[in-house]
Amino acid sequence: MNDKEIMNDNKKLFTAAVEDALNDMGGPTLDIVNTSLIQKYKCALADCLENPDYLKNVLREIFGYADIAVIAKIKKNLGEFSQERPVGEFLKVLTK
Amino acid sequence: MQAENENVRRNKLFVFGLLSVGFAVLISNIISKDVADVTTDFLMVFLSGGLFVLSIIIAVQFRLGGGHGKAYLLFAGFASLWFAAEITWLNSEIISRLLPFPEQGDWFYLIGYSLLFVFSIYYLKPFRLAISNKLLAYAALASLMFFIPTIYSTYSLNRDASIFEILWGAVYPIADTMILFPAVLGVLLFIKGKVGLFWSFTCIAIILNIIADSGFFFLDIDKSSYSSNPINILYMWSYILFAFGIYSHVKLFKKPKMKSFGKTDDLK
Repeated sequence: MNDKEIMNDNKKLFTAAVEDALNDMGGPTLDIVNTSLIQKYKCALADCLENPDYLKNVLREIFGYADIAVIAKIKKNLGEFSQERPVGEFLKVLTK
Repeated sequence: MQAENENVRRNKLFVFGLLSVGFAVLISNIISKDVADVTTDFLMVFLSGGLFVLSIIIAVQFRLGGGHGKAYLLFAGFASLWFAAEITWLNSEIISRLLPFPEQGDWFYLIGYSLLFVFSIYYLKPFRLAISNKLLAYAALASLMFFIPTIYSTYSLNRDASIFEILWGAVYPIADTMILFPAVLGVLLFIKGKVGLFWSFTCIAIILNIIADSGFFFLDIDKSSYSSNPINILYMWSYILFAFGIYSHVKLFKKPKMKSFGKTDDLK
Protein backbone atom coordinates (compact mmCIF):
# COMPACT_ATOMS: atom_id res chain seq x y z
CA MET A 1 0.00 0.00 0.00
CA ASN A 2 1.57 3.31 -1.01
CA ASP A 3 1.21 6.65 0.83
CA LYS A 4 -1.59 7.86 -1.43
CA GLU A 5 -3.66 4.74 -0.78
CA ILE A 6 -3.11 5.03 2.97
CA MET A 7 -4.17 8.67 2.84
CA ASN A 8 -7.30 7.75 0.87
CA ASP A 9 -8.20 5.09 3.42
CA ASN A 10 -7.66 7.56 6.24
CA LYS A 11 -9.89 10.08 4.47
CA LYS A 12 -12.65 7.50 4.03
CA LEU A 13 -12.46 6.55 7.68
CA PHE A 14 -12.37 10.17 8.76
CA THR A 15 -15.34 11.12 6.54
CA ALA A 16 -17.41 8.22 7.92
CA ALA A 17 -16.59 9.30 11.50
CA VAL A 18 -17.63 12.92 10.90
CA GLU A 19 -20.72 11.94 8.91
CA ASP A 20 -21.86 9.61 11.70
CA ALA A 21 -21.37 12.35 14.32
CA LEU A 22 -23.42 14.83 12.28
CA ASN A 23 -26.07 12.31 11.23
CA ASP A 24 -26.70 11.81 14.93
CA MET A 25 -28.63 15.09 14.63
CA GLY A 26 -30.19 14.44 11.22
CA GLY A 27 -29.29 14.44 7.53
CA PRO A 28 -29.72 18.20 6.94
CA THR A 29 -27.09 18.89 9.62
CA LEU A 30 -24.50 17.01 7.56
CA ASP A 31 -25.69 18.82 4.42
CA ILE A 32 -25.24 22.24 5.99
CA VAL A 33 -21.70 21.41 7.18
CA ASN A 34 -20.79 20.17 3.69
CA THR A 35 -22.31 23.26 2.09
CA SER A 36 -20.54 25.65 4.46
CA LEU A 37 -17.19 23.94 3.82
CA ILE A 38 -17.65 24.29 0.07
CA GLN A 39 -18.95 27.87 0.22
CA LYS A 40 -16.37 29.20 2.66
CA TYR A 41 -13.29 27.13 1.89
CA LYS A 42 -14.04 25.40 -1.41
CA CYS A 43 -13.21 22.17 0.34
CA ALA A 44 -14.93 18.80 0.76
CA LEU A 45 -15.37 17.08 4.10
CA ALA A 46 -12.65 14.52 3.35
CA ASP A 47 -10.12 17.33 2.77
CA CYS A 48 -10.62 18.55 6.32
CA LEU A 49 -8.29 15.80 7.47
CA GLU A 50 -5.50 18.00 6.10
CA ASN A 51 -7.27 21.26 7.04
CA PRO A 52 -8.86 20.67 10.46
CA ASP A 53 -9.29 24.39 11.04
CA TYR A 54 -11.89 24.53 8.27
CA LEU A 55 -14.11 21.98 9.98
CA LYS A 56 -13.48 23.53 13.39
CA ASN A 57 -14.55 26.98 12.15
CA VAL A 58 -17.64 25.65 10.40
CA LEU A 59 -18.77 23.66 13.44
CA ARG A 60 -18.31 26.70 15.68
CA GLU A 61 -20.20 28.88 13.21
CA ILE A 62 -23.18 26.50 13.19
CA PHE A 63 -23.31 25.13 16.73
CA GLY A 64 -21.58 27.83 18.75
CA TYR A 65 -20.00 26.53 21.96
CA ALA A 66 -21.93 23.25 21.62
CA ASP A 67 -19.41 22.28 18.90
CA ILE A 68 -17.39 20.50 21.59
CA ALA A 69 -20.06 17.79 21.77
CA VAL A 70 -19.80 17.16 18.01
CA ILE A 71 -16.00 17.14 18.20
CA ALA A 72 -16.13 14.66 21.11
CA LYS A 73 -18.40 12.38 19.04
CA ILE A 74 -15.99 12.57 16.06
CA LYS A 75 -13.10 11.71 18.38
CA LYS A 76 -15.03 8.75 19.81
CA ASN A 77 -15.91 7.51 16.32
CA LEU A 78 -12.28 7.65 15.24
CA GLY A 79 -11.41 5.43 18.22
CA GLU A 80 -8.05 3.70 17.99
CA PHE A 81 -7.17 5.54 14.76
CA SER A 82 -6.89 8.76 16.74
CA GLN A 83 -3.35 7.64 17.68
CA GLU A 84 -2.23 7.42 14.04
CA ARG A 85 -0.43 10.35 12.47
CA PRO A 86 -2.79 12.31 10.19
CA VAL A 87 -5.87 11.56 12.32
CA GLY A 88 -4.02 12.33 15.56
CA GLU A 89 -2.82 15.66 14.20
CA PHE A 90 -6.30 16.47 12.96
CA LEU A 91 -7.79 15.81 16.39
CA LYS A 92 -5.08 17.86 18.09
CA VAL A 93 -6.12 20.92 16.06
CA LEU A 94 -9.84 20.20 16.36
CA THR A 95 -9.79 19.85 20.15
CA LYS A 96 -7.35 22.76 20.67
CA MET B 1 -24.91 40.27 -0.44
CA GLN B 2 -28.02 38.25 -1.27
CA ALA B 3 -27.98 36.74 2.21
CA GLU B 4 -27.65 40.22 3.74
CA ASN B 5 -30.62 41.49 1.74
CA GLU B 6 -32.64 38.50 2.83
CA ASN B 7 -31.73 39.13 6.48
CA VAL B 8 -32.78 42.78 6.18
CA ARG B 9 -36.08 41.73 4.58
CA ARG B 10 -36.66 39.12 7.29
CA ASN B 11 -35.91 41.63 10.07
CA LYS B 12 -38.31 44.16 8.50
CA LEU B 13 -41.04 41.52 8.26
CA PHE B 14 -40.39 40.53 11.88
CA VAL B 15 -40.72 44.11 13.18
CA PHE B 16 -43.74 44.70 10.93
CA GLY B 17 -45.39 41.55 12.34
CA LEU B 18 -44.81 42.60 15.94
CA LEU B 19 -46.04 46.16 15.38
CA SER B 20 -49.05 45.27 13.24
CA VAL B 21 -50.54 42.72 15.66
CA GLY B 22 -49.92 45.13 18.53
CA PHE B 23 -51.74 47.96 16.78
CA ALA B 24 -54.55 45.67 15.57
CA VAL B 25 -55.33 44.53 19.12
CA LEU B 26 -55.04 48.03 20.62
CA ILE B 27 -57.23 49.66 17.95
CA SER B 28 -59.84 46.88 18.15
CA ASN B 29 -59.98 47.36 21.93
CA ILE B 30 -60.65 51.07 21.38
CA ILE B 31 -63.49 50.29 18.93
CA SER B 32 -65.45 47.79 21.05
CA LYS B 33 -65.05 44.63 23.11
CA ASP B 34 -66.78 42.49 20.46
CA VAL B 35 -64.44 43.73 17.73
CA ALA B 36 -61.50 43.13 20.05
CA ASP B 37 -62.68 39.55 20.77
CA VAL B 38 -62.98 38.70 17.08
CA THR B 39 -59.68 40.40 16.16
CA THR B 40 -57.76 38.75 18.99
CA ASP B 41 -59.15 35.25 18.41
CA PHE B 42 -58.66 35.32 14.64
CA LEU B 43 -55.12 36.69 14.97
CA MET B 44 -54.27 33.96 17.46
CA VAL B 45 -55.56 31.28 15.05
CA PHE B 46 -53.68 32.87 12.13
CA LEU B 47 -50.37 33.13 14.01
CA SER B 48 -50.54 29.67 15.59
CA GLY B 49 -51.50 28.29 12.15
CA GLY B 50 -48.41 29.93 10.65
CA LEU B 51 -46.24 28.36 13.32
CA PHE B 52 -47.86 24.98 12.66
CA VAL B 53 -47.14 25.19 8.91
CA LEU B 54 -43.48 26.13 9.53
CA SER B 55 -43.11 23.30 12.05
CA ILE B 56 -44.41 20.83 9.45
CA ILE B 57 -41.89 22.17 6.90
CA ILE B 58 -38.91 21.68 9.25
CA ALA B 59 -40.20 18.21 10.28
CA VAL B 60 -40.42 17.23 6.60
CA GLN B 61 -36.90 18.60 5.98
CA PHE B 62 -35.48 16.27 8.64
CA ARG B 63 -37.81 13.32 7.85
CA LEU B 64 -37.47 11.83 11.34
CA GLY B 65 -33.73 11.39 10.76
CA GLY B 66 -31.48 11.58 13.81
CA GLY B 67 -32.28 13.11 17.18
CA HIS B 68 -33.31 16.40 15.60
CA GLY B 69 -35.73 14.70 13.18
CA LYS B 70 -37.66 13.30 16.15
CA ALA B 71 -37.34 16.62 17.95
CA TYR B 72 -38.92 18.56 15.08
CA LEU B 73 -41.77 16.06 14.90
CA LEU B 74 -42.44 16.75 18.58
CA PHE B 75 -42.29 20.48 17.88
CA ALA B 76 -44.85 20.00 15.11
CA GLY B 77 -47.00 18.14 17.64
CA PHE B 78 -46.69 21.05 20.05
CA ALA B 79 -47.56 23.59 17.33
CA SER B 80 -50.55 21.53 16.17
CA LEU B 81 -51.91 21.31 19.73
CA TRP B 82 -51.62 25.05 20.31
CA PHE B 83 -53.19 25.68 16.91
CA ALA B 84 -56.06 23.33 17.89
CA ALA B 85 -56.33 25.15 21.24
CA GLU B 86 -56.69 28.52 19.47
CA ILE B 87 -59.38 27.12 17.14
CA THR B 88 -61.23 25.64 20.12
CA TRP B 89 -61.01 28.96 21.94
CA LEU B 90 -62.31 30.86 18.89
CA ASN B 91 -65.17 28.38 18.57
CA SER B 92 -66.10 28.67 22.26
CA GLU B 93 -65.92 32.44 22.39
CA ILE B 94 -67.12 33.63 18.99
CA ILE B 95 -69.20 30.81 17.49
CA SER B 96 -70.85 28.69 20.22
CA ARG B 97 -70.36 31.35 22.95
CA LEU B 98 -69.87 28.70 25.63
CA LEU B 99 -66.95 29.11 28.00
CA PRO B 100 -66.69 26.05 30.23
CA PHE B 101 -64.07 25.91 33.00
CA PRO B 102 -61.58 24.43 32.44
CA GLU B 103 -61.92 25.15 28.76
CA GLN B 104 -61.29 22.29 26.30
CA GLY B 105 -58.45 24.25 24.70
CA ASP B 106 -56.63 24.33 28.05
CA TRP B 107 -55.90 20.61 27.73
CA PHE B 108 -54.41 21.19 24.27
CA TYR B 109 -52.18 23.95 25.62
CA LEU B 110 -51.02 21.83 28.54
CA ILE B 111 -50.25 18.73 26.46
CA GLY B 112 -48.50 21.10 24.01
CA TYR B 113 -46.20 22.25 26.82
CA SER B 114 -45.14 18.68 27.56
CA LEU B 115 -44.36 18.08 23.86
CA LEU B 116 -42.32 21.30 23.75
CA PHE B 117 -40.38 20.08 26.79
CA VAL B 118 -39.69 16.66 25.22
CA PHE B 119 -38.73 18.45 21.96
CA SER B 120 -36.03 20.38 23.79
CA ILE B 121 -34.74 17.19 25.43
CA TYR B 122 -34.44 15.47 22.04
CA TYR B 123 -32.83 18.53 20.48
CA LEU B 124 -30.25 19.01 23.21
CA LYS B 125 -29.47 15.29 23.68
CA PRO B 126 -26.77 15.09 20.95
CA PHE B 127 -25.00 17.99 22.71
CA ARG B 128 -25.11 16.50 26.21
CA LEU B 129 -21.30 16.39 26.36
CA ALA B 130 -21.25 20.17 26.04
CA ILE B 131 -23.71 20.66 28.91
CA SER B 132 -21.63 21.44 31.97
CA ASN B 133 -22.85 21.70 35.56
CA LYS B 134 -22.27 25.45 35.32
CA LEU B 135 -24.66 25.73 32.36
CA LEU B 136 -27.24 23.60 34.19
CA ALA B 137 -26.92 25.85 37.23
CA TYR B 138 -27.44 29.03 35.17
CA ALA B 139 -30.50 27.57 33.45
CA ALA B 140 -31.95 26.36 36.76
CA LEU B 141 -31.34 29.79 38.31
CA ALA B 142 -33.14 31.53 35.43
CA SER B 143 -36.14 29.19 35.77
CA LEU B 144 -36.27 29.56 39.55
CA MET B 145 -36.22 33.35 39.21
CA PHE B 146 -39.63 33.02 37.57
CA PHE B 147 -40.86 29.90 39.36
CA ILE B 148 -40.51 31.03 43.00
CA PRO B 149 -42.36 34.39 42.66
CA THR B 150 -45.11 32.63 40.70
CA ILE B 151 -45.69 29.94 43.33
CA TYR B 152 -45.44 32.47 46.17
CA SER B 153 -47.90 34.92 44.63
CA THR B 154 -50.32 32.14 43.65
CA TYR B 155 -50.46 30.92 47.22
CA SER B 156 -50.45 34.29 48.96
CA LEU B 157 -53.15 35.83 46.75
CA ASN B 158 -55.46 32.81 46.91
CA ARG B 159 -55.50 31.83 50.57
CA ASP B 160 -59.27 31.24 50.47
CA ALA B 161 -59.27 29.33 47.19
CA SER B 162 -59.38 25.55 46.91
CA ILE B 163 -56.25 23.58 46.05
CA PHE B 164 -57.68 22.89 42.57
CA GLU B 165 -58.25 26.59 41.91
CA ILE B 166 -54.76 27.51 43.12
CA LEU B 167 -53.17 24.81 41.00
CA TRP B 168 -55.24 25.70 37.96
CA GLY B 169 -54.37 29.38 38.38
CA ALA B 170 -50.67 28.70 38.49
CA VAL B 171 -50.45 25.79 36.05
CA TYR B 172 -49.52 27.95 33.05
CA PRO B 173 -46.82 30.04 34.72
CA ILE B 174 -45.40 26.82 36.21
CA ALA B 175 -45.42 25.06 32.82
CA ASP B 176 -43.72 28.15 31.32
CA THR B 177 -40.93 28.12 33.88
CA MET B 178 -40.37 24.40 33.30
CA ILE B 179 -39.99 25.05 29.58
CA LEU B 180 -37.72 28.00 30.29
CA PHE B 181 -35.07 25.69 31.75
CA PRO B 182 -34.11 23.88 28.50
CA ALA B 183 -34.64 27.10 26.52
CA VAL B 184 -32.06 28.99 28.60
CA LEU B 185 -29.78 25.97 28.32
CA GLY B 186 -30.16 26.12 24.53
CA VAL B 187 -29.34 29.82 24.43
CA LEU B 188 -26.20 29.36 26.54
CA LEU B 189 -25.14 26.27 24.60
CA PHE B 190 -25.48 27.68 21.11
CA ILE B 191 -24.19 31.20 21.76
CA LYS B 192 -22.35 32.41 18.63
CA GLY B 193 -23.80 29.54 16.59
CA LYS B 194 -26.30 29.88 13.75
CA VAL B 195 -28.71 27.46 15.47
CA GLY B 196 -28.64 29.77 18.51
CA LEU B 197 -31.06 32.21 16.89
CA PHE B 198 -33.91 29.72 17.25
CA TRP B 199 -33.14 29.21 20.94
CA SER B 200 -32.87 32.95 21.59
CA PHE B 201 -36.27 33.52 19.97
CA THR B 202 -37.76 30.53 21.82
CA CYS B 203 -36.41 31.78 25.12
CA ILE B 204 -37.88 35.27 24.63
CA ALA B 205 -41.18 33.72 23.46
CA ILE B 206 -41.38 31.68 26.67
CA ILE B 207 -40.57 34.72 28.82
CA LEU B 208 -43.38 36.62 27.05
CA ASN B 209 -45.70 33.69 27.80
CA ILE B 210 -44.67 33.77 31.47
CA ILE B 211 -45.41 37.51 31.67
CA ALA B 212 -48.76 37.12 29.87
CA ASP B 213 -49.82 34.08 31.92
CA SER B 214 -48.84 35.78 35.17
CA GLY B 215 -50.63 38.93 33.97
CA PHE B 216 -53.85 37.02 33.30
CA PHE B 217 -53.47 35.24 36.61
CA PHE B 218 -53.32 38.58 38.49
CA LEU B 219 -56.15 40.03 36.39
CA ASP B 220 -58.26 36.97 37.28
CA ILE B 221 -57.71 37.62 40.97
CA ASP B 222 -58.56 41.27 40.41
CA LYS B 223 -61.69 40.14 38.46
CA SER B 224 -60.64 42.55 35.70
CA SER B 225 -59.66 39.89 33.20
CA TYR B 226 -61.31 39.60 29.80
CA SER B 227 -60.23 37.46 26.87
CA SER B 228 -59.36 40.23 24.40
CA ASN B 229 -57.27 42.14 26.93
CA PRO B 230 -54.26 43.83 25.25
CA ILE B 231 -52.05 41.51 27.30
CA ASN B 232 -52.83 39.01 24.52
CA ILE B 233 -50.35 40.95 22.38
CA LEU B 234 -47.62 39.16 24.34
CA TYR B 235 -49.02 35.74 23.31
CA MET B 236 -49.12 36.90 19.70
CA TRP B 237 -45.54 38.16 19.88
CA SER B 238 -44.56 34.82 21.37
CA TYR B 239 -46.10 33.01 18.36
CA ILE B 240 -44.23 35.37 16.03
CA LEU B 241 -40.96 34.70 17.86
CA PHE B 242 -41.49 30.92 17.76
CA ALA B 243 -42.35 31.17 14.06
CA PHE B 244 -39.29 33.26 13.17
CA GLY B 245 -37.12 30.94 15.25
CA ILE B 246 -38.33 27.91 13.33
CA TYR B 247 -38.10 29.87 10.07
CA SER B 248 -34.42 30.53 10.80
CA HIS B 249 -33.91 26.74 10.99
CA VAL B 250 -35.97 26.12 7.85
CA LYS B 251 -33.65 28.50 5.99
CA LEU B 252 -30.50 27.18 7.65
CA PHE B 253 -31.21 23.52 6.90
CA LYS B 254 -32.69 24.09 3.46
CA LYS B 255 -31.37 21.54 0.97
CA PRO B 256 -28.53 23.32 -0.83
CA LYS B 257 -28.78 23.77 -4.59
CA MET B 258 -25.31 22.94 -5.81
CA LYS B 259 -23.76 21.35 -8.83
CA SER B 260 -21.93 18.12 -7.99
CA PHE B 261 -18.17 18.17 -8.06
CA GLY B 262 -16.53 15.12 -9.57
CA LYS B 263 -13.16 15.46 -7.90
CA THR B 264 -12.52 17.35 -4.71
CA ASP B 265 -9.34 18.72 -6.29
CA ASP B 266 -11.56 20.64 -8.70
CA LEU B 267 -12.83 22.67 -5.79
CA LYS B 268 -9.46 24.21 -5.11
